[in-house]
Amino acid sequence: MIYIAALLLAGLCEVVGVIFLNNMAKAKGVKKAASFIFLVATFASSLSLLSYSMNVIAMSVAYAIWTGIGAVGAVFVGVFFNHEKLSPKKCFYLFLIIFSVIMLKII
Amino acid sequence: MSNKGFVFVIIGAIVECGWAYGLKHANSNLEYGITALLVCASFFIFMQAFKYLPASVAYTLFVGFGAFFIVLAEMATDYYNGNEINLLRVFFIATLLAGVFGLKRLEK
Repeated sequence: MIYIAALLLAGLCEVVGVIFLNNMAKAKGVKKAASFIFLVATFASSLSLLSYSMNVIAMSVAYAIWTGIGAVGAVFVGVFFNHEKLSPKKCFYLFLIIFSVIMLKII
Repeated sequence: MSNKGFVFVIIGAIVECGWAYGLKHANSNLEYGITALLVCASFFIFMQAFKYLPASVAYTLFVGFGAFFIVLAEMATDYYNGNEINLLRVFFIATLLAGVFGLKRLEK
């Protein structure tokens, strides 16, 4: 159970990392440096939580779930933080890519 | 959809494959150093893509291309070692590319 929680938390850290990545591309000066430090911290904790969960959960499954959470989360980051518009077609293509990646990692 | 953004994502994904390979096979301080450098480089290149593409598209493409190049490299080594190519993998690479080209066409 705690391993599943670690995996979910790893996915969450990855999404927070994407938020900082997104901020960093737009920010300048001190804000940019701060974003970079948070970015490194969130991705480092995400990866260590991922490798912890791999102690029990099969590597391919853990990796696929982690990628899935991160990719879907990044779409939500775009919608909520940048007010991106999602047309049904765009949604379809994004999820076709994410689904393909998850399947490629499981098989 | 900006071509420049696409180019940055593709280069970033190729560099990412470099450090994924490094994490697996590095066994000296120098090799770990190069791997860490590649991690920073891929993030830096990838960040440039965020300037040209919306976050949802940029991250999905990054994940997509990363998986694409890694699977391609694995399939090449499999084939080289005389193993059969997994058709299921070919199928999902095709659906992945269909998604990428669909996105590309959508925003013209």
